[in-house]
Amino acid sequence: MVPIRPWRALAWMAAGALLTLVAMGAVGLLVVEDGLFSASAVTPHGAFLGWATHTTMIHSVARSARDAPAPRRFSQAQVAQGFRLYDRHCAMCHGGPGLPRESWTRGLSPTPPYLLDAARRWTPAQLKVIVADGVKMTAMPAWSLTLGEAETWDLVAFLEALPYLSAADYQAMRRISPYRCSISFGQAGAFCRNTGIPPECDIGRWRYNGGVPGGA
Amino acid sequence: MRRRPATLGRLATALALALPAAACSASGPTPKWADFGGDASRGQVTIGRLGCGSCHEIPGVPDAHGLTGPPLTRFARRTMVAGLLPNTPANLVRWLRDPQGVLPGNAMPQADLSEAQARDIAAYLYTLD
Repeated sequence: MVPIRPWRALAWMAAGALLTLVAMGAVGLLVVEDGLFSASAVTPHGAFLGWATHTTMIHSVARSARDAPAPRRFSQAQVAQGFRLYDRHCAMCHGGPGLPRESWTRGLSPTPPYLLDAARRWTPAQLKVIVADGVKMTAMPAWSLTLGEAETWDLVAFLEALPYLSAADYQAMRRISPYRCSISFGQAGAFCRNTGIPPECDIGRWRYNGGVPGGA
Repeated sequence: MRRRPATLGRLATALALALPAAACSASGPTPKWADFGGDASRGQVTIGRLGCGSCHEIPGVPDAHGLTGPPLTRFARRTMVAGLLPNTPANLVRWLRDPQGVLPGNAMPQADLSEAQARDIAAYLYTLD
């Protein structure tokens, strides 16, 4: 019977592990120092890198938002103010209902998504984290550096309203005087029913019209 | 060295194209768009760049799981474009280039697409059997 020498096996394993680490380090250094990884935005991330970065971002946002407080409802005034901020700062990259992004956004990698269903994918607290903190290695800025706390929540309020806005609604909001809270979504409209936002503003300058242009 | 990612990408594309084709062998012939010009793999890249996937579920396009517009799964077999136009190459290209002209006020944005780009996108969608 051959005597077992566990320390020998362990030594070999340790040597193998060390060698692997050294080799990995060398490859890593080559990638960083020799330009082996192309930073060109012409070709998008490969499947693995795309998955790794995107999934990391999703979990990072979820973690940051885990214990963050979020209001249970938003007022129409917040939605209106959020729209003005969105239209000025966000629409160029994220578009809107029936509204294209600027054509140069197709040169961004990763490409900025349309956000019509963002409220169906993220909680308000998570949306707030994304807006306020931005996303590294994308073109998404941390808006908390230029907007106030209340304004970032206004943007979240608008994103919560976005799934209920038709293309005609969005254009109608653009025509509304920016300094008047004059938006009424229609008390019986789907917007109020679904969001529970009380119709605090009185004037029905435009109404939720169920997506029919010029209707209702 | 710089060619390696391209080769990998092509492999991934081939896999992405081959997998759904192998998985769905539904009954009935697929409409043939054989003489329809357009480069499907170029179209696949363009779809990614345009962000179509933020509103549509599109097999073979990374992160294309949008919940706003209809899923584009099995597009080659779909009967209507936008619930309005019969699904033919000419109609699809027309819709892709001018959604607001075809159906004013719908949520699909008017992306600035050339005829060739629209044909590439259409060619890719017609690989989704």
